[in-house]
This record gives sequence, C-alpha cells and structure tokens, in this order.
Amino acid sequence: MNTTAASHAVELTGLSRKFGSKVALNDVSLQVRRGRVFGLVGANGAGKTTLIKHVLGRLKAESGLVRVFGFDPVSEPVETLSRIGYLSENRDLPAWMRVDELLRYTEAFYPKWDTAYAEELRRQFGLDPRAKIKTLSRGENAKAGLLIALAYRPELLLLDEPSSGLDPVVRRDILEAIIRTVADEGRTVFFSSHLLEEVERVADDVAMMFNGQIVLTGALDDVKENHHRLILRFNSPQSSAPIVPGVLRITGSGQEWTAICNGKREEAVAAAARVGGRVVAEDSPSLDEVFVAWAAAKSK
Amino acid sequence: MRTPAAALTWELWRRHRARLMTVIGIVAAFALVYPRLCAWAGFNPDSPDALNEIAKVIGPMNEAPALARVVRILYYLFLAMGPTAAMVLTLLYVTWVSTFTEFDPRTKDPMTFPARRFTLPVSTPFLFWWHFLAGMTSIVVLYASWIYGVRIPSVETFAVYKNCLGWITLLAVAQGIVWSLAAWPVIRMLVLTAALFAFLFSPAQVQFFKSPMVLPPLFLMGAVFARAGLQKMRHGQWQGRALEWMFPTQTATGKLHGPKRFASPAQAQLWFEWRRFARPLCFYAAALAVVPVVVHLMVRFVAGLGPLQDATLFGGIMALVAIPPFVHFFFALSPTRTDPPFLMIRPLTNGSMTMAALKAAALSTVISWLLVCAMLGAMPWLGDVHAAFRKMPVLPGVLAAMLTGLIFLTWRFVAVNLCIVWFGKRWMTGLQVLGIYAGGFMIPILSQNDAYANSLLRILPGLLVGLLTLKFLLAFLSFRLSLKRRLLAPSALVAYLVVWGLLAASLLAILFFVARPPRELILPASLGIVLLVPLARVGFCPLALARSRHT
Repeated sequence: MNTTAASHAVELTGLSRKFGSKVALNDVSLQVRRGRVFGLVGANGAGKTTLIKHVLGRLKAESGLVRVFGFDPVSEPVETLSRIGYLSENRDLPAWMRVDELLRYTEAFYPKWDTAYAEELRRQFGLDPRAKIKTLSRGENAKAGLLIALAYRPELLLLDEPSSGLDPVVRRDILEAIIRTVADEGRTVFFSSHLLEEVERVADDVAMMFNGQIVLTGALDDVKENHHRLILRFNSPQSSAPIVPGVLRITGSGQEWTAICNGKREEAVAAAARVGGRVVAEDSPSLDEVFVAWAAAKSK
Repeated sequence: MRTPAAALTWELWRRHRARLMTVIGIVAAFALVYPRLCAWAGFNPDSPDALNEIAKVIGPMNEAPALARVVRILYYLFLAMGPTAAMVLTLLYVTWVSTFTEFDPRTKDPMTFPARRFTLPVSTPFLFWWHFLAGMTSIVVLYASWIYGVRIPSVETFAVYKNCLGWITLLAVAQGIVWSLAAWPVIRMLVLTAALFAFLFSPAQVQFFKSPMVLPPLFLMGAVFARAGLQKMRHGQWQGRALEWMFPTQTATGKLHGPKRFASPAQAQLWFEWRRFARPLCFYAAALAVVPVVVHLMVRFVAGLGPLQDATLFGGIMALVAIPPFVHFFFALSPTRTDPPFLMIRPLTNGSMTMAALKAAALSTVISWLLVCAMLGAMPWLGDVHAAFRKMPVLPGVLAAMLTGLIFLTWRFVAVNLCIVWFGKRWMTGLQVLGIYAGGFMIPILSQNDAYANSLLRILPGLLVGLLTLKFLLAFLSFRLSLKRRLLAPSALVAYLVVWGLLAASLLAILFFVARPPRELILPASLGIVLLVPLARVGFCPLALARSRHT
C-alpha cells in the first residue's frame, strides 16, 4: 500500500500476542491518526512496550494486523522503519560509539537527514560530540536517542516511556521536541508514558491499556468530558466503601466519598441515591484520576 | 549463610559452579581415564622423557597409510602434552575466575569487578582479604589436584610449571593488574597479556620459577597493587582519570568530527560491524601476537638470554599461527554476542546486514593475519627457524596450503556462526563444540586401528558427496525463500555466489598446485574444500536475522 493512501499513521486490528501462557496483547484494535499526538498509558506490564514493538516490527503479530502508513512492519521493514523515529525505553544505543559517530552512522540510513537540524539539536542538548555513549548520563543518553530519532524529521515519532527516570529538565526537552514535531510539520507522535500529567499536556488522543487490552481510547478532551468526579455525602458514616453500580472507583471515609464514573452520570447519581448517597459537588477528573479509577475497576 | 564470608563464598560457587565443575571434571578425567589411554596405546607416562617415548612409537610406522600416520602422531602428542596443556589451561581459567570479575554487557568489558560487591556493608580490608585468600585457596587446591592426582608425563621444558609458589604468584600478579588497572581496560589487557606470557611461555620463565629472589617479591608486589586497586575501585578514585592528556575532552560547542559521511547505508553498516567486532578482534590478535614476540625480543636482546631452543621456537610459531583462528573461533561462539535492538531497527535489508557482517569478518581476518605474518618475520631474530622446521615431516607446499587453510578457517568461523547467533539458539553452538569433541574421541580409535582408517578413507567421498548435495539443496531453498520474502536483493545474491565460486576455486587451486596431496586424498580433499566454503548457512542468515528482528 502506498504511504499517501493510508489514512492512519498506525493501524492495529485484532492484534494478539502471548508469551508462554501470559497474554501480553489481547485482541487490540487501535488507530493513530496522522498529524496527532497519541498517548498510550497503562500500568507496568499492561502491554504498552509489546504493542510498540509490534509497530516497529520487532515482534511479529501472532494474530491480527499491524500497518504503519499502510506498510507491514515485518514484511516491509525498510519502508516502515525509514518513516519512524524511535526512542527506546531501554536507552540501548551502542555504548562504544562516540556521539559524532552515532550521528554519522545513523545519517547514512535516512536520505532526509537534516544535518543542520541535527547539529542544532546537539548543541541545544549540550552533547559533546567526542563523548562516548557509555560515559553519558541517563538524561544525556535519552537526549542522544531523541536526537537521532528527530534529525531526519520522521513521519512518525515513536517514543517508549521517553521520560522514564529522567529529571524535569530532560523531560521538558522531550516534551518540547514532541510539541515542535507536531507544530513544525504536522507529523505524528505515538508515545507511551507513566507520567499522566505529561500525556495530558501534549496528547490529542489517548488509549489506556490494562492486562493487554485497550479499555479506553479516544480524544483526550472527550475522555475527560466523559468522566465525572462526584462528591457523595451519606446520612450516616460508612464503615466500608459503598457499592455503587456504574461507578469505576469510590474512595473516602465516614460520610463523604468521592466517586469516579464513566459517561453514565445520571445512572451513577441514581445508583448512589439508592444506597443513601447524594451528590454535593461535581467536576471533571484529571487523567491521572481517570487512569487510577480504571485500574481499580479492572483489578476488581 | 550467617557470615558475609560464607555469603561471598556461596556467590562465588553459585556463579562459577558450572565452570568449576568443568575444571574438576577435566582433572578427574586425566586422573582416572588418562592412565588407561596410555596403557592402551603402549605409552609410558612415567618415562623420564616423554618426547623420547613418542619418538620410539612413531618411528616404525612408515608403512602405515597417510591418514592413519597423521592421526597416530596427533594422538601420541596428546598423550605426551595433553595433561600439561590442560593443566596450564585450567590454571589460566581458575586465575581468571579468581580475579572475580564479570562481563559487563553495557560497556562490553569482559573483566569488570561487580560494583554491587562494593555496596555490601563490609570493610575494604575484609573485601580484599576474602577475594585474595579465596583465589589463593582455589589455586592451591588446583595445584595439588594436578600434581598429586594426575600422572603428568615428564617433559623438560614444562618441568618449571611444577611450582606452587609460581602459581600463586601468577594469581597475585593477575589480581594486581586487573584490579589496579580497572579504569584503563585497554592498558590492562596489554599488561595482563604480557605478564601471562612472561610467566607461562617466555624463556625467562625458568629464571622466574627457579629463583627464590624473584617470586616472593613479585607475589608481594601483586598483593599490594591488588589491595590498592580494590580500594581505589571501591571509591572510584582512579575512574575517569584515564589519559586525559592524550584525549582532551571537548566542550559541547565543539565541532562535529567523527567519521566522514558514509556513501550508503551498506557502508555505514560495514563501519558499524568493523567497529563493533572486527576491530576488537584485530586488537585481541595483536595483543596475543605482538606482546609475546616483543617480550621475547626484549628478553633476547635486553636481558641477553637465548636464542630459543628449536622446539620452543617451533612451538612459538605454531602458537602464533593459531592466534587468528583461535580469537575468531571464540568470538564466533561467544554467548555474549548479541545484536542490540538499536541495530535491529535500522531501515536496512537483512541481506545487506549479512553482507556487512561477512565483509567485516573478512577485514578482521586479513588484518589479524597481516599482524601475525609481521610477527613471524621477527622469528629469525629469536632462533634458528630452519633448524626448528628441520624435524617437521611435512613438505613446504603442504605447510603453505595449511597456512592458507587456517586463514580461510579464520573467516569461516565467523561466517558460518552468523546464522546461529541470529537464530538465537545457543544449543546449536554447543552442538558444534560437541562435534569437535566427538572428532577428538575418534582420534584414539583411528590411531589404534589401520583398518578403521582405511575404511573411513573409502567411504569418505560418498559421505562428502551426500553432504554436498544436502548443502546445495539447503542453499537453494534458503536463498529462494530469502528472495521471495524480499530479505535479500538479487544483486547481493549474485555477488555472494561469485565470491563463493572464486573462494572455492582459489582453495582448490592451492590444493592441486601447492599442496599436491597423495592421489588417494585428492577427491576427498577437493570435496571437503567445496563443503567447507559456506553457502547454505550464509543463505540462512537473512532468514535467521528476520527471526531475530521480528520475534
């Protein structure tokens, strides 16, 4: 399929994968639209890295379909990988290379490599060209990885936990790079992260994964609009969390409890009333609260 | 485990259990099986001079067929030298284990002292003494096992190894070098190689091992350096001070130097393979070949010792020509050799990656052999080369052909193991090693029975034709599948087939016009050569790489 004909940057249909008896991905379907920033969130072991490895072609789908700009990453690796800029969670750059060697080496694979841009990024990131990768700090290593992922202006920037374990300055650099990638040329960014406030800052669309399944996906604004935080007051103190059907998670103590519900607000309010609770306040939850609520609901 | 010492001892045992069991197995095999092999072959291991014992047995064999003669000579050499060689190898092995270092997958340094041990709540003197004494104990136990448990044939040149103080001094010096030079791995490797050769193979060893004025001071010096090195390592005091005056650090605003721009992805990939493994292999070959020759030259011209005896010089030349195949063989089978995900996501076809790896292997082969040839050129300064080869019952043409064969095998070790590495099936590597052992076990059988050897010679052509048919069939299937899956460009296939044809033709030409083997060996040797030039396993490389890239 031609890259221009594909309507989505990434398209996964019914993707499943097992490692022994452990189901890593279970019938995952997902579309990442071109020119959008897509954030993938999920707990440790939810399957985010496995999903990203399928997009890269590092894992072959046991069942289902993976397409990146219309290409199959396994049977058409050159066509796929030449369009992807990838930053690994494991910072697996060759330890023996120097920064300048890393740039020259990577440049050879990408005809669209922008030398001036690469040099600009290198200076911006403060990377010594003669420094060996093994002598770089964790943050510098991430910057070096980001540099080679960005310098050929890839159509898809694929970041696996890009800011995991990094200090706020490096995290800011990475976020700015994501924003610039999209602002400059409307390219696509697909990233996974634990840091939900970051996802909230930059993502247009999000997907949440639990136990190898996508439990929630959509535009970030829609996700936030569809979730409600209800402050419930009960006439008498509750010794344990009241069971309110339709509510993802309920926390609190005594007479006042906080419930997070998904979409069906009226039903949740009615259900709360049936167990003796009334809504005294209401607002939109943060993405972090939505995530925790879904995690609680799925782990029940 | 109630004490730190017990915990550390358990860790040492747990980590090296398989290796130490192998060493115990080797000593046990020589203690129990070796005397029976000697009795079976009519070889007296208690003879005052084992080499004379061999000459007695080999002498009256002129009527035996060529293959049987070669096999029998090899077998008796094994009986005479095997225990000493195994003893020295296990000594080196236990010395390495007793430096308590590990392979660091991040820096690829094979001798990194594990940092986690420095975080244990024990004092530095305790850490030092435990490691030092545990190492010494291991070495003394090994020494006692060999000397008192195995009947080692008497060979005058090797008599100096029977010295326990020499063994523990070697360990103290090794610990001193490894721990005190931990911040400078390249210098450490060179100094360590020089020290090992000085101890084990230099003509000065006689003085080292016999003089009471040499070993005790060396032992003390090694211990002092080891103690200081451990202290400095624990607190990172020497880290990052490496040769700053030679390699000044540049600021972040410094200009981009690096390698020149690559003309193509394939060229970049070749550079990557060169830097990743071919250059280190050349370095190891250089360290193993150049350092000992320089040590010998210094001993010869600075200390005024020598020249080398004919047998020692002959052994030295044999050791030199074994270095490139030895280094490449161990690299090819190395379990630490993996391809990083960084490499797997390059937008490059599997065929191109394979070709880059094969070319890099060819480069390291050529450079390693050039280094070795240069060192061979220095041999006339160390002794009488003509005299050393006078007793060698092989024609110069055969020697030249054997040398060419070794050069080819050096490259082949890497080429044929590529697909195994990429398949990620380590047991396949183990199978190869088992195959080598199986061949080794066949030697005593063949050497004892000429009828077996003759039968083998008769069935060998048929066997080789069968294997060749299988090889071409597998090659056809693998290449067809690679082309069908677009893992390999047709032009790359044609290029490799041309290289394969030229390589096979060149080796056959050397066989016919230089080696000139006896008539009965021409057919099996020709078929064997065609069988050895890798085709099917190279054909499987793109498929194996695809499996590795897309698990």
